[in-house]
Amino acid sequence: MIEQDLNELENKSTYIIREGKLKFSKVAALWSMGKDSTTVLQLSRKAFMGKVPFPVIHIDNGIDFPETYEFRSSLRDEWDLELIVAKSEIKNELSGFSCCGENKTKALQEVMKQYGFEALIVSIRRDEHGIRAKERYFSPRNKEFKWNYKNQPLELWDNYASRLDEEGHYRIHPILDWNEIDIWRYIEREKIPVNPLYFSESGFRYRSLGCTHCTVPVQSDAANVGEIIAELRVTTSEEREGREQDKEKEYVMQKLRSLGYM
Amino acid sequence: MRLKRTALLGQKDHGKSTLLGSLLIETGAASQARIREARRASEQLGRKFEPAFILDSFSEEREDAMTVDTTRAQVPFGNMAFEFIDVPGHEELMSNMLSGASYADTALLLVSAAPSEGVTDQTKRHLFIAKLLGIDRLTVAVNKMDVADYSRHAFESVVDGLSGFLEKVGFDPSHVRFVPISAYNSQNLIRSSAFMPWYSGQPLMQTLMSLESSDITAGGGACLATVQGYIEGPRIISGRVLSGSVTRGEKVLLLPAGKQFSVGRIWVGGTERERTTPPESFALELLGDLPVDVEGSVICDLASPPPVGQVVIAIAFFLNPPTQHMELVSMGSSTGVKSMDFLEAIDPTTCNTVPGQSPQPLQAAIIRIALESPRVIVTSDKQRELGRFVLRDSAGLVAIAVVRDNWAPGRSQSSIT
Ligand SMILES: Nc1nc2c(ncn2[C@@H]2O[C@H](COP(=O)(O)OP(=O)(O)OP(=O)(O)O)[C@@H](O)[C@H]2O)c(=O)[nH]1
Ligand SMILES: [Mg+2]
Repeated sequence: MIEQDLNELENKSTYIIREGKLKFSKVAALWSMGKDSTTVLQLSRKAFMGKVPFPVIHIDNGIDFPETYEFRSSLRDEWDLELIVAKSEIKNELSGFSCCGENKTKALQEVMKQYGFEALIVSIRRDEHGIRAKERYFSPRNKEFKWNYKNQPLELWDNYASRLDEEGHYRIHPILDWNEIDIWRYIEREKIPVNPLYFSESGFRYRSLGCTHCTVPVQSDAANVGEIIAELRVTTSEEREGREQDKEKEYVMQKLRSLGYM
Repeated sequence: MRLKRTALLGQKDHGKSTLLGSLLIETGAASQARIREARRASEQLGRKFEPAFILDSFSEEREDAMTVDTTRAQVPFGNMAFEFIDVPGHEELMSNMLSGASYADTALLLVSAAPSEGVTDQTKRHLFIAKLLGIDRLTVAVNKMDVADYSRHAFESVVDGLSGFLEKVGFDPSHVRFVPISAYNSQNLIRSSAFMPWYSGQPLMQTLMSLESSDITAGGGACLATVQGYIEGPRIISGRVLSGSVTRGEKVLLLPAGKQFSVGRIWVGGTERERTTPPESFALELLGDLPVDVEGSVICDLASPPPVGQVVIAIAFFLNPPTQHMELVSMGSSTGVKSMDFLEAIDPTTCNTVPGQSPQPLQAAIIRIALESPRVIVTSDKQRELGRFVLRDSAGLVAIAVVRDNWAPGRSQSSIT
């Protein structure tokens, strides 16, 4: 896994976050309490004089881990976050597609409407998945949250699309360039608090965190940030191998993303 | 580690994505899971294994066996790391090609040596655009040597077919390396190929490694920084340094307003600093009576301010026909276009001037634009980032362009940038 220049990544990400905040009047960040979205909050603090300058949204289906809820309230207090909890109901069966797709998207749609957000900062990375590797930094979504991936806007030379279609919104992806190992190196450098579920307990740890239902732990003895970095330097497995929805079937990710899933 | 960003360019189907897929497999950069998935997808479509599917992830891309949108993949090699940018070759997908290729410092052009493929108009357009994007380091991979009997003759006829045009478009032929490969069979990618004993040069990756990149973010020069806007209160702005440095306590000029300010506190990455240098993005305090709107402004030295004006001469590549209501967009900020004259239309596949007043899509032109309000106008040879812009209208992209200082009839040939 290639380790990139953290200063260069930080500069680019803070530029994008600022650009997002300046181009849209109402912005929010999605916060799953995972390592990536927490890193984005740290970058946002750095971009805006020490305080996250927009609300953070947790789409909560009620079945996240207890550690995750604890982490949520402690960091909210420590960083003085304006937290919005969007309750997502689990209506149908607990499969990745409808659980992470339909239910969560619905909850998000309601909260977006209620607050009138024009742009959402989302912490996806190119190295996570082939479909995510096709994203722009600024990506328009229509009223139904659909991603028109067959016709993405031109994006070059620091010029990001920002024209809003009626009732649509933008997704802003400030850490698209980062690799998994860069996130951990940055967490180490910045001493960013992390959800304890990432650390090994009795031989297992979570490498990628979703809710209790669709994430499974991977075998690992890495019990702190330094050990996770050391582990990633030699691993040959994929970050999202512990995620169910990616495995279910070919093109599940494409379907989920085109429908507006985070 | 700093990445060497290299765009894969060339005609559709000449093997860009296949090459990148093979490189990811050969260097171990692609996970087994990713390779398995591409293998399964190939089987489901009843195709031979397509390494391109490691990159081409959309179902549509796989069904039609073509890249629709750009993607990137990193490849470690020796003590270096490359970030390859794959782009679609299809001429209707040029906007997506630009979205990818604009991030590259160097380019790797693919030309298929298969009978009846070879150099095409689209190959040449990609070269023209690469030059326009400021890329001047180029490697040419002559691909599909397996279906050309790995013959020296096939290789050389591609080299001969391209050399004249390369020079015309402005690449120094002594800097361009040609490497015969088979992307599909992984021949001459990271090891010399036994099938091509007549080739005495280095394999592709070693060739790319030896290509020095022209470092455009090197320090020095007069202070130039762009401004995004106010991030807090009426005096803390954010932006990015393009050249020179901005130092606390120093007096600077804000353009196009033309007003002087003292630099107060500076923050980079949230930490207070005495100065900021390229390519950092900063927050800084300007002391004085700031204009209400600073978006798109430029900070510079008092001693050497860049020119401000309302007329721009540029060389543009058109993707769509120009319309009445266009705007010029550069470094995230836009200015209305009052009028546009076509000084000379250029065919990018020959670099020759062509008759006609209004260029067609996929054509280039020297244009003169009158702007609705003044802005900093810098030629691209002086400052690459400020010297380039996008023209767009309500429907989207019209053209990309780079600023030139002047124009004389007939001079445009062989001097794109
Ligand atoms: N025989 C042979 N076939 C190749 C080689 N390289 C690529 N191909 C085939 O050529 C076809 C097109 O290859 P791609 O890699 O998709 O071409 P591309 O340049 O990415 O095309 P676009 O994405 O549409 O611009 C595929 O079926 C490949 O298997 C090669 O070295 N030899
Ligand atoms: Mg392709």
